[in-house]
Amino acid sequence: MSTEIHRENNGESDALSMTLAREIRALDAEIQPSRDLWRGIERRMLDHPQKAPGGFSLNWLSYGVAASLIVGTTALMVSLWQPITQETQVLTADRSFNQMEAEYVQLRNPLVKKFTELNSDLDEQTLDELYRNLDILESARRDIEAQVREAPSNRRLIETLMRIHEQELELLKQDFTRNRMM
Amino acid sequence: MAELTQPVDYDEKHLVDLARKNDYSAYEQLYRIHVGRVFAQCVRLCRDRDLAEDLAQEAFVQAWLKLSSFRGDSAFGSWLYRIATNITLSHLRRQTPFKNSLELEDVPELEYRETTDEQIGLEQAISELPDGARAVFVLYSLEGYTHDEIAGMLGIAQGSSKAQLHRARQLLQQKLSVEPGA
Repeated sequence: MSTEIHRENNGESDALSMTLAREIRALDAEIQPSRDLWRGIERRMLDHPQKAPGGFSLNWLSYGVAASLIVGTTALMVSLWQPITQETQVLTADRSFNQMEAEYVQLRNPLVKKFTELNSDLDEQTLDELYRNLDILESARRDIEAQVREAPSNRRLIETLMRIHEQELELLKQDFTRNRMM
Repeated sequence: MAELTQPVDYDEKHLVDLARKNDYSAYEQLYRIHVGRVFAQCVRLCRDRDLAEDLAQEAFVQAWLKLSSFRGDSAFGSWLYRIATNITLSHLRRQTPFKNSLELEDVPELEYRETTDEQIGLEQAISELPDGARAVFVLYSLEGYTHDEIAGMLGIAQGSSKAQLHRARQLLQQKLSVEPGA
């Protein structure tokens, strides 16, 4: 700090400068407010509780997505070789693919809205990972749907699609702000 | 900005970790530890005790809201004081007289105290400084910010910051040099 002082060339100024330096050192580091500020602070805090720290692991989700893809792909491969059975024809008759899709969309849309609201406050990195995994699930679903459209009476394909629907809906029901690893 | 030199005999990092998990009593302890220093900083910058209390309270609330972004690279206190400084300066910058006082050409000429017959303390002398000179003096000499940092905070040139500090020191030396009965 002394380099900042334009010292005068006389002893009086030096003495004043030393006095000032001494006074600064002696100054109280703390001054207490006349009222307790804590009440007001606490009230504001209660309106904005801490969110659990970000960066929690979503590895389980990745594994879940990977597992579902493996299950789905395996089922798909097997299904391609499955002969069309009477049971499949009954299933197809009772519950068409289009009807299943309509029900799924009806269930999914409000869940997507709720999911976005619940998890929007997660940190950016976590959100990226979450939505990346959702994209993987969605991509898998679309692949199976395309297969089902080509072979709508294939029971194995429809079961696989139903499982992916269930997994996706289950994921969308989750509030990840409550599931963080501490 | 200079780190705190005062010893700490408590595990502040632990308190911060607890506060992050919504432990309000831990954050209250942090408040009790730092309120004196935060308030001192606010009141020296703005000169108004009531306003300083509001600003100090706001600093603690903002620190709570940003707690998840506190990485612990510096002491919690240093981080908190910077928040308090920014809040106070942000408020002051909206005041036209304060803005005007930051202009180099508005640095006042020395005014000699001719009628005072008692020595004043440094605290009072600081409070009697013009706004711009006071802000730079408090930030540089008491809070340990560099001229570069101060220039950024106040939106002035480094040279202006140095000139304001020089003038502040001259004024303080003058005020402190008055002997009793003079």
